[in-house]
Amino acid sequence: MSGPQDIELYQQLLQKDKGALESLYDRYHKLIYSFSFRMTKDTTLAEEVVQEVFIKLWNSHSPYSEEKGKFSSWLLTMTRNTALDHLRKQSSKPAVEFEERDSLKETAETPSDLLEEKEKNLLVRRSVQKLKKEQRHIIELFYFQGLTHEKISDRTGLPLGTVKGRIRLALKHLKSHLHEEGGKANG
Amino acid sequence: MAKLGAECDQIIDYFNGHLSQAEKEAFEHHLEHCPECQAELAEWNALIEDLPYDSEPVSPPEGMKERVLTAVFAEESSELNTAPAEPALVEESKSKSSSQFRRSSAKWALPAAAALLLSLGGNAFLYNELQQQSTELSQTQDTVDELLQYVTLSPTGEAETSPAATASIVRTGSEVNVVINASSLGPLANDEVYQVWLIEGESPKRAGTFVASESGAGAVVFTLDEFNSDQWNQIAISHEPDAQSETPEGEVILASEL
Repeated sequence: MSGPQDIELYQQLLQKDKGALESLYDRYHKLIYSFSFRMTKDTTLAEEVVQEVFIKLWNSHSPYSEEKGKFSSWLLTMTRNTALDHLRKQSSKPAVEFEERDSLKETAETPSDLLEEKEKNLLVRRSVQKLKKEQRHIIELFYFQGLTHEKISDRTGLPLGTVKGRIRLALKHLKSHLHEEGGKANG
Repeated sequence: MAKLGAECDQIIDYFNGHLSQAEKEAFEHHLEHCPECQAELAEWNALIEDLPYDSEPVSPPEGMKERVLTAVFAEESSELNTAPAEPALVEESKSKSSSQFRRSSAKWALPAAAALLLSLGGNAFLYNELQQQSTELSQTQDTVDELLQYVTLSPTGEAETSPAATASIVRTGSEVNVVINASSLGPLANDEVYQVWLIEGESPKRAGTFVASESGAGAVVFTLDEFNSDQWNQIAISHEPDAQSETPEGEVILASEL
């Protein structure tokens, strides 16, 4: 990735360097927005999530440190938790529960320094597409909608005692697809 | 074993944040002794690296950058120029009805800091943050907070607004926190701040910096490395030209004996 490392920008941000926050915004806003939109399926809510994530970042209420793993993963965890909070506040859940995506076409041009993100995006989406429909469904309910154990059971018709095993299986398959696709991309 | 299995099944609701505080603590206790759940959770957390990328790239709405950055830096300007790393936490009340807690809470229930700050604001963001913080704290906190001292500071000058403030000194494990809750403060200009001082004999020590909201309310929590009840004889709040004063340069507006 060109330019300063995330951690350098983050350290500048802690010194209240507005330029550093703006650089992190430029670097991650699209990923965070796309992920928030994927979870909330609502443009207004997705923007609220982005705003809250950057406010949290700026105010460093829950500061990042390198032992917490990659900065981008930490930021995405914060995004998911924020989006789940917003979803919980919504009395009604998104109308569209699960959308089949029939194409992997790109919807917008991607700057060259985001090539890495673009490649990862394609890799993960290809891997998810290779899952069986019910495996994608359970990942959608568990991960992207963050439903309770009971609701996942209701929506899938699986007994409560089976849900966790199915999540585990879906994730195991996803992981092996990621390895395969990653191997292809690197080979 | 059946019971253990039932506890393990809570991992989904734990991961997705659906457990009550008590359930969460019980699960975390279970987690410490359950290698299976630890492994499962580690695996799920690792997926954070990948699954967010299963989102079709979507172009954000027009003008989002300006709106977001404006909102972010608006938060900042309301906390302007407090000395970095000085106060443990600087938050101000966004509530217009600050007077409601002005002197009404003489006997606070503990834990003071979180509960106090919650009572300060109708600010949903602050509320969420504090929930998150108190959740995080609960993972490490194995002590019971103890209120060491509670005082009401009296106005020392003839300020037009007749300011008021209370100070709670709370022991949390080996740390001692000073929680200041002020209201009816006058407006600040430019870099000006309100500075809390703990006074030992004649020498004041900085003990937290804060700014006031539009409604004249302010709060700060300051952590002391050590606290000896005989050491300090006075607590005071002054109106400083900036957040850098090492001794009071501005007017002392509120004070109390300790």
